This record gives sequence, structure tokens and C-alpha cells, in this order.
Amino acid sequence: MGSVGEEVARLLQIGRPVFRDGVRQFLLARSTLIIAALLLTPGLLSGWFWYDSRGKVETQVIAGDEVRVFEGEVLHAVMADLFYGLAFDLYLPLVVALVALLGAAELLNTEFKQKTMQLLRTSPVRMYEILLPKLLAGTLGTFVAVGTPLTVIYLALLAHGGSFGLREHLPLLGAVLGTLLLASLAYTSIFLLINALVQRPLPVSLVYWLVWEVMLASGDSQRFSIMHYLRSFALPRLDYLGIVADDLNLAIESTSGGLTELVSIATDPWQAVGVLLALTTVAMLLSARLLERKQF
Amino acid sequence: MSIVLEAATRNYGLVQGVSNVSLELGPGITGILGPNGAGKSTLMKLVLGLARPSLGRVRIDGRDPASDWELRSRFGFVPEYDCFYDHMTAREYVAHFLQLQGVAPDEAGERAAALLDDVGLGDAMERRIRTYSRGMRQKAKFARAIAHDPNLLVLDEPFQGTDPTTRRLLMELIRSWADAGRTILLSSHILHDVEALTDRIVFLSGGQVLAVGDRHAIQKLMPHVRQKVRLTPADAGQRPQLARLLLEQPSVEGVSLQRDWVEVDTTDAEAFHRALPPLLRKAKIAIHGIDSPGEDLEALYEKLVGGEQWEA
Repeated sequence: MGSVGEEVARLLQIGRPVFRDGVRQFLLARSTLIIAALLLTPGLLSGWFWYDSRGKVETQVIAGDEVRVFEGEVLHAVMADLFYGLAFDLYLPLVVALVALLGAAELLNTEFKQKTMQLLRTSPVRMYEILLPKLLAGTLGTFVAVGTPLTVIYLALLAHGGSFGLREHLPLLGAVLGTLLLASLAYTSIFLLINALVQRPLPVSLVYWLVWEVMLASGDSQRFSIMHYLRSFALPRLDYLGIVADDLNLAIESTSGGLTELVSIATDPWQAVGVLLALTTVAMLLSARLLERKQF
Repeated sequence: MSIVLEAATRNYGLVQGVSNVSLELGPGITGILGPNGAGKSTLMKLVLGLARPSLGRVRIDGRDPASDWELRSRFGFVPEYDCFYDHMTAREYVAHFLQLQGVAPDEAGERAAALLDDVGLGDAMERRIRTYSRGMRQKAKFARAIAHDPNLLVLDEPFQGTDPTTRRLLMELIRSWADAGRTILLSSHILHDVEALTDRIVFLSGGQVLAVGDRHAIQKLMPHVRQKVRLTPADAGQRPQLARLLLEQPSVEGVSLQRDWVEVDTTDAEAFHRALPPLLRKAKIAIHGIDSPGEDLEALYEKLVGGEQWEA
């Protein structure tokens, strides 16, 4: 084995075509395009609201900022709430995992279906040199496929709050995109592992996602789910909106001396990032090991 | 490159791929022959490191192909099945695998284009492979397998589904690689293809090696197989005399007189051929031609696979 510098240079050289092809394969897959188009549909809410509120929106100057108001409601705050709900109740817990699941199958399972895995295994490459660029391609693909519609929706919704609204809630957009990036990475690594492990990865991935990430991801047991660490990462970034642990399902009831109260079980955000990165690393090492030992 | 299999056995659950196979192969073309399910593909997978032996061991130049990833830079593999990225053109496909060999992208593209041109895909190289005919796909597979100039080429049923022109082209390529000193393993269940390329043959059946060597060596391994030898005397009038003399030979089972020749049945071809020259000299019979009509590869193959050589 060469020096670290040589290994990195080699990884970049070998990984480049795999990554480039993976991104292309992911983003041009029919399933990705259909899902991305469907994800844009909430943006239609914006058009409906624009039609409904035409001529009724007032602009007020508050503390030097031009704030738009509709029927007594500050529009940027309403739209930020709407965007927050879409992102944290629908897109991040459900859609990201689904896109990453389909993407991982497109990236790895097709290598088995098309029997190109045998060609990779007879090429002078180590499996992590194939898996790492695939992980990055899957992460980027998921991030772009979900992040683009989310950004469009943000712009469409917050535009009702004027330029002030768009600027005011950039931290929200940042929190959503940051969480999305971590989610893309973690879910892609888990689904790549499932693809390396079993011959029929789609049903197994779906069962994992529904049973583990959706059904068990509440209460104290959520510490074993990816979603817990994603919410923990996002929580402090949503503080400015008044979002607390309970809003993100990060609180459990604790009874002490007859008094029941909600207690946050959120993990420190940087610890959460560490856990997700460690999980990704372990999943990749296991996947590489499984693929190296795969018999044909 | 040297290929050594030592008592290699590979099972797939309860199904045996190959059993107790010991072989030593070197440069040049070696044909792996056997019916479907004989273990040809399993043998090739063991050589390529795609499968590990359940028992025994496999070594390529003394190294383990299943764990030595660097060794694989010297392998070229043409699988029996299609193995393409649907979304790629032939040029992208060949260049992609060249880049995995460490070739820079620009150079990979140029080399891929030149190779595809060499195999007759120059006009189609920018088309997606999924639009290709069967013969074109085979050519694309060949181009990918040889692009990095490997020392060991493993060709699994390389002529399957190809038209005569493509077949001829691929055979010429294979011969040129063998002439360049490469080690080539070629499997086929079409005997004519192997016969046209090499005399060095491994016969497989039921996962076991039945015979190894050229057709004459294999013939020697089958002492109990009945064979026909056709002797054509220069003077057709000497046929009855020749027939009588031949019948006296212990290795001869029967003789039949034909219009121009005498046909001999023997179960010990080697002894027969040893005894023939002095016998002819003594009787002063000049022979115009000797051949063995049932000794082509097809016949040997059927006898071996049929288990005839084991019969007493």
C-alpha cells in the first residue's frame, strides 16, 4: 500500500468516472425525475395563495423593514411555518429516505442486475474505491433531487413575504438543506449496505425504513434511528423560530415526584453529526467487505 | 501467466460447480470443453477470483486471484452473458473500464475509440450499446477485455450468437493475442470453435476433468475406446492381402473391405499404429493414406462425455 497521498490520488482517479457516471445515472433515472416533479407540487400552494390574496396584501414598515401582512397575519412568518412543516414533517422524514432508497438501488443493485459487478471484481480496484464514489453520487443525487424542489418551494412561499421574508428565513433554509445533506449521506450508506447484503434490496430497504425509521422512531427508542440525529442537528438552528424539542418529537414525558414533564432527549448537534458520520463509515466498511467476499 | 489449480473444488450449496480439479496451464490458447453445466464457467470464475474454491487452491503466477486485487490488472474477461451499462455508448463503456485501470480520461477515450475501430465498431461507437446486435455486443465486450493489454484472457463462450464474419474476426484476434504470448482460456460447447483455435484442450463433464492435452494425448487416455482407422493402399488390389494381415494383429477387432480402402476397428490405437509400419514393410504394401474418421474432436468429446473410456 502506498502513502496516504498516493492512496487519495488513486481514489480520486478511480473514483471520478464512477462518481460522474453514478450522478448521471441517479439524476437521469425515471424514478428520480418523477419524484422530483412530484416534490415541486407544494409550490403550487404559492400560486393558489397569490391568486386568493391578490389586492389584499398590505405592506407595513416595521423597525425599518418592509413586512407584508395579509388579514392581520405577517406573511413571512406564516410561510416560514408552512415551509418548516413541509420540510420536517414530510420531506425529511419520508421523502429523503425514499429517494435515497431508490438511488442506492440504481447505483449498486443495477451492477448486479447488469452483471457489471463481475467486471468490477475482475478490475484492479478495491471495493471501497467503487463504493465511496457511489456513496457520494447517491448523497449528491438525493440532495439535488430533494433539495432543488425544497429550495424552489422556499423561494415560492417566502417570496410572499417580500425580499425581507426571503432574507429573514435563510437560517431555516440552511437548517433544512444541512439536515437534508446529512440525511442523504446517512440513508444512502444504509441502503447501499442493504444492497450489498441481500439480493432483493428494495423490499428489505422498505421494511427497514418503515419499521425502523418510521415506526420505532419515537419515544426513547428513537436514539437508534437516523431521524433522531437529524432532528437533533436541526433543533438549535430552528431556535429563532421558537421551535422546541417537543415540536421535533425530541421530547419524552418524565415523571418525578408525581410531576410529569416533557424532557428533551435531543443529542448535541455536533455529536449527532459524529454519530451519523460514524454510522456511514461503518456501513461503507461493511459494504466493501461484503462485496469483496461476494461469490459469483 | 501460469495458472495452477490444485484439487480445486467449488460447491454452490448442494450443487457442485467443479470437483477436485488439478490443472497447470501456461501461455497460448487452452480450450475448456464440456456440455452445459460441465463446470466451465465455474472453472473460469475460480481462475478470475470471482469464486473461491471450497477446497483446494488456485494460483495465478503464484498469487491468489480471489484476494490479490492488483493481480487483476493483468486479467481480461469476456463473460458469456451481457454485462453492459445500459446508458453508456460503447466508447464510454470501454473508456470507463480503462479509467478503472488507472488510465487518464482523455487517453482512455482515445484508446477506446481506436480499439473499437479495430474490432469494426468505429461507426457505431457513439451509439448506446443497448441498440447493438448480438455480434456488435460481443465485439464491444472483446474491446473492453483487451483495452488494458492483459496477460491473461478468459473468454467464456466468446462466439455465442455471432455471425460467421464476426466469428472469423474474433478468432483472428484471439490467435494474434496468443501469438503475442498471452495466456488464453477459452470455453465453448461448440467443438468446432475450439478445434479451429487450439489443440490444447481440457475436457470437463459433471464438474470433473475428464481429459487434458491435445487430441492425440487425449486419445491415449482412452485405451478402451473403439476407434476406426482407414488405410488406403496405393494399389487397391492389395486390399484383401492387407485385410488378412491386419486381422492377425492382436489390437485389431475387425476389418471391413471398402471400395478404395480397408477400415479397421481397434481398441488399442497406440499398439495398432506401432505395429503397422513393420507389417507394411514386410508385406511390401505401399499406403496412400491413413486417417481416423472417428477421431475428430467431436467424436472424442462424445466418447469422453459418454463415459466410454471407462468401460473395460
